Amino acid sequence: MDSKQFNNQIVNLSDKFFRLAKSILRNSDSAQDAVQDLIAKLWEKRAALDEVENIQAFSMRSMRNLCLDSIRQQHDVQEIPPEAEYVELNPHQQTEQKDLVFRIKLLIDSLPELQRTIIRMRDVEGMELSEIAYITTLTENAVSVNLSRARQRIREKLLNEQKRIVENVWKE
Amino acid sequence: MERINELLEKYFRGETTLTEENELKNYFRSNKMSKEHAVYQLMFRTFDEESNETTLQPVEKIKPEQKRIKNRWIQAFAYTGIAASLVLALWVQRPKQPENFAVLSGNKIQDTEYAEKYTEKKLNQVNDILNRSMKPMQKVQNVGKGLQPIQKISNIREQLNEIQNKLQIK
Repeated sequence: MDSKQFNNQIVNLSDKFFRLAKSILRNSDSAQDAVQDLIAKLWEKRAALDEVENIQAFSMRSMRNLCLDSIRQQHDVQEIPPEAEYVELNPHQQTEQKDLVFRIKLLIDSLPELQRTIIRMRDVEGMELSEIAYITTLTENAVSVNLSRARQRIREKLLNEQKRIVENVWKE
Repeated sequence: MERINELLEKYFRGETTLTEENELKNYFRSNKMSKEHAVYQLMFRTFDEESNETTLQPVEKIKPEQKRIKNRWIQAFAYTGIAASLVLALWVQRPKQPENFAVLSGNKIQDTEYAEKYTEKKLNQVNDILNRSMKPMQKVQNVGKGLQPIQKISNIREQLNEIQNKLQIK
């Protein structure tokens, strides 16, 4: 693979890598570093990339493994908390739609790594179950199960908040 | 409506296909949804928003360095070629030197007068040498003339022999 092919097939996916890294690491700066690191590592191994069938899935899998390694290393020293955390709204809080979108992002970030990675690869990136299964080294069935859990958890929270907001309106 | 409810149930069970999920996404983008579905709209809007997220700084493309190394030889040849043609061009266009000259002991002589005088001097020397070497030849001629009487002696001897022979016979 020469530099032109590498730029077309891998560097052009940087935003996708960044979103995956950010979902796992829950930190934009660390995600940016991880992407740079991934590009450098893949460029070193570019000769072997010619053998790879699905470059996107292979690179995404490498991105995830790189992020998980970095979490494991930092775990020994000090766990990095997410940039912001999801907190339940109290009955008197009024939120605008823009804030609600941000709250849903935090809600996804509060899910276990596997669930948030899977829901984002499916619902944000629109990837096939087979690709997600390859990236996460799970069976397609296990991917579906985790996807369902993640979606239902978000549904629960949304319905709870809606219920509370409606109750709040009724009280007033 | 029924269709959307069905799709949503399937969606939360993690059983929808990508096509069905796109149908849902388009429904929630349309703003023509029923009130009971409004709660899910934010969820799909969040996915749409996240899909537009980009890296903090653009990731630099890899420069074609590998190619440059491969081309190094070609470049070296190209530069050598350019240098060679420059030298050739300068040689061809160099100011023309006068073509008339004489060579004396390996040195170019461009002074015509000097060359003529030198040539004349040398020709005279050759003349002298020829004259001197012809003198002995004249002497040889003189010797030839001096030897002519000796030839007569041989004639006398022949005649004497003839006389002797005649005398013996008689």
